[in-house]
Amino acid sequence: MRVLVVEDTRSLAEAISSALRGWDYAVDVVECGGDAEAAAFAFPYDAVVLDLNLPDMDGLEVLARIRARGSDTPVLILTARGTLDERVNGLDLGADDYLTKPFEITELEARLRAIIRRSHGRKDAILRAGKIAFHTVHRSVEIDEQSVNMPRRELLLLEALLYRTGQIVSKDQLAESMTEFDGELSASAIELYISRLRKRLGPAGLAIRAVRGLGYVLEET
Amino acid sequence: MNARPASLKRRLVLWLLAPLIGLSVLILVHAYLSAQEMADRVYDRVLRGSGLAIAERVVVTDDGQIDVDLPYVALDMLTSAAQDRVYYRVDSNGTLITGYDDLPTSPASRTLLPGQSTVYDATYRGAPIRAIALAGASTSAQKSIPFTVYVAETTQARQNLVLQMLLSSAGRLGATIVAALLIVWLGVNWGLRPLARLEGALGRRSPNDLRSIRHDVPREVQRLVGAINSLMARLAAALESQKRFTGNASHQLRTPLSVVKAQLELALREKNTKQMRQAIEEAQRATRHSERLVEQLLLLARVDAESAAAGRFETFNLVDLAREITAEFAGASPKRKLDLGFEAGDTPVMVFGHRTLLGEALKNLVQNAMTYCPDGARITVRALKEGRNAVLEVEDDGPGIPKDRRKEMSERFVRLNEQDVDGSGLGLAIVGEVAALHGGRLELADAPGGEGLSARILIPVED
Repeated sequence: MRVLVVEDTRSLAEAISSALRGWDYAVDVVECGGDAEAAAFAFPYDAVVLDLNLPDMDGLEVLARIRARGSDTPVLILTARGTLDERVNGLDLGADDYLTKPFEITELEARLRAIIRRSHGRKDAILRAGKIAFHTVHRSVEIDEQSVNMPRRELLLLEALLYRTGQIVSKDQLAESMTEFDGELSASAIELYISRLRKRLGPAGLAIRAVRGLGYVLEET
Repeated sequence: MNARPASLKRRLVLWLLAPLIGLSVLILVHAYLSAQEMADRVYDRVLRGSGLAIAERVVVTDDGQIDVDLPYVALDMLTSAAQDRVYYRVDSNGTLITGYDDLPTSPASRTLLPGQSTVYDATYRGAPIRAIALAGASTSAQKSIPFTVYVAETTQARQNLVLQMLLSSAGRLGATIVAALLIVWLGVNWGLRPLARLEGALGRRSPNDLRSIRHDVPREVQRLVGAINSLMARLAAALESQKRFTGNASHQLRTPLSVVKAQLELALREKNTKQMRQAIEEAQRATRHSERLVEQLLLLARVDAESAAAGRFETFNLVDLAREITAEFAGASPKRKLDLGFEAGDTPVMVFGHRTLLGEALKNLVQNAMTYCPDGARITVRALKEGRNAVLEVEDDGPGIPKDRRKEMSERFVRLNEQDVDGSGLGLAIVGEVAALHGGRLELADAPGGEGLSARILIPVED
């Protein structure tokens, strides 16, 4: 999971990102609309947290620009104003949810999870495939109702694949969904994590099939 | 009358009615006079005819006496006219020959020479009469005897005629007045119809609709509509700025609150004490920031309230105030080795102003200088008189404000650096508004050394 946080109050941005990193999300922080637009275009974010009051342009403008480029990344808007008109306006412009300042971090996290699930056409907080159940709230995995401990990176990979069961996910996409601006994950590292995951998923009735030149597909066997 | 606002229609009608009635009275007086004159002319002619007819019948009898063979037809001419009574009298040298002896004569009638006549008014038997006296002389072979014929009639017919003419005049005038009023009434109604439409359109407007009025109105009302439009525009601008301010204020207040909440929540989750402490410190910083912001907002509200009330002004010495405020800050941050100083001449600088607010404004300037200057900076507070202005000045040798941004710095919620989380963005706005409250202004300029900022509050004073 990779989230873009657009917030010009640095201490708030830090609080949000450190909370999200606690969930093993990759978080990029930008402080102005221009950077937000560029970042949203460059990386496949799973969600964007967007403050409306930015130094260079209105947050709604940023939203409109992101949507104008055809991106359907879910966007959670943070606002201090929160009048009905504004919420309606924001939602009409393609925002997925609204949160009025001041807010609880837990609510932000829950709403973020919800809009990410919705963007993948899911409502349940538990992702299921084969005999595996992934709890997005506690970030734990059960195979055959037995709790399984998994390293952080593998957990992230599994989550990314589970959200797109039956769809091809490219290596780049997987790599980028696990890194932040300053980090980098090589294709071979992804291959390594994939091979480890395969071993774990075999008993769960799941296979990760490589599609040459395109990426991986998670399939039930 | 006082409670009700004057109606345009009523006013127009009154304005029209008063002169019309005055004019009508004049016309009626004139009509009355000319009707009377005409009636007299008509009836006097008949009267004279009767008189002449009688005079013709005055003869001198054979015995030298004068006699009248009264032609009743002549009198009938008169009585047929109306319900008037007719009187006559013929005398000769003051001796009654025939008729009513007590019929009043007039001084002129008593001295008539034969051939002359006079018409006069008198009262007889309690009723007004009109009489004619004709003098003549009846001649026989032997002598000529002078006589006077009097014929009089009551004036009922004349009065009736006059009244009739007067009534018909009055009727015509009345009709004219009524017609004029009706025309004015309808005309005003019709003329005011565009206004009624305007009223309807404005009445149907929502209170948020402050667009200008675009209705077709008579030229006379265009200036009024223009004035209303300009008022609406100003109102819309004021509302818009109010809305912007509220939106800004709520953002500015809620953001640090969000920080506090988020950081405290993080601290609670944190097991590592060092990081927990860090989060709590962040939260505390944000709390301090909100506190400062709330203080500044309240101060701003106070400036607004004062400018509405404009009370509590007093005459005081600006030098004393500046000295007091500077002293308050003197020991503020010993670690930063700031060189805070005060300079003023020996003469007091008297101003008529709001002491507390000017003090707060100066505090803001000093605080700004102390916050944004590096350690060891030199800050000088001055109070002086310069031409027609009293000046409060804070000069520093810090980083200053770029020329092109100085103007916007006095707007609310504008900060030189958006990342500057401690600034409320209100400090200079407050200073500017306090200055404006005193009819003065805030001036930002380079410090004389070229390095740093000179912030000056200029207050015009009378000599």
